[in-house]
Amino acid sequence: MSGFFVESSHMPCAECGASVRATDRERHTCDPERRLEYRIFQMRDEVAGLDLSLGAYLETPEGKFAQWLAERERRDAG
Amino acid sequence: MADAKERVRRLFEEPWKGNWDVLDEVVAPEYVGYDSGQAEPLRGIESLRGYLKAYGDAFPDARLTVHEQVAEPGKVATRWTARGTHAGEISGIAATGKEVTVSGLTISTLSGGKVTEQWTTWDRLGMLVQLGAVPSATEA
Repeated sequence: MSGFFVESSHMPCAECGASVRATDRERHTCDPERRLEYRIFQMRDEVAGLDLSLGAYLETPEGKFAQWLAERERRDAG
Repeated sequence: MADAKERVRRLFEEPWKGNWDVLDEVVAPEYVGYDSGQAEPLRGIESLRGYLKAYGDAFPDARLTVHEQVAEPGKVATRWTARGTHAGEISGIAATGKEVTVSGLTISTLSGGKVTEQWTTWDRLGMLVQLGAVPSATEA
C-alpha cells in the first residue's frame, strides 16, 4: 500500500517550534529562550496539574508546617 | 492603481497589527469572499471579520506580509505569506505551540475605492502538515 506524504515549504522545528524553511533546515539553530518556551508550552497540562497538587499539599498539616518553617527560616536569614 | 494596491495591502496587513477598523474603511458592505478551501463564500464585512478573527484567536501573534501586487483598473492580485504560532484551536486541532508559515494568492476586485470581491487560494494543506494533522514527507 503506498503512503501519501505531503511536503511543505516550511516546517516547525521539533525542538523549538520555530517555522523553518525547508532549504534552511540544516542551518537552523534554536533560540534557547524560544526552545524553553516551546518545551513549557508542551508541558502546560503538567504545569497546571502541579499548581493544583501543590495547592492541595499546602492545605495539608504537613504543607502548612512546611510553609511555617520556610517563613521562619526566611525571617532568620533576613 | 497605486491607491488600490495600497488599500488592498492595508486590508491584508493591518488587522494582524490590531487595526480591525481597516475592514470598515476598505471593504464594501456587499463584499463576497471566495476561498478555495471553503464550501460557502463569506458575505459582508462582519463575515470576513469573523473569519479573520478565528484565525487571529488561533494564531495570536500572526503577521501577514504582502510580497508583490499586480494591478489593472478595478483589480489587484496579491501574493502574501502569513506566519504565526498555533496557540488556540483551529480546524479542530488543539494548540500545539508550533509556528506555521503559509502562502497565498488573492485577486481583489475594487469599486469606488472599496473591495467588493476576493478570490483566494492559500496553502491550507501546508498549514495542516505543519501542525502535524497530515503526515509529511520529512517525518516519513
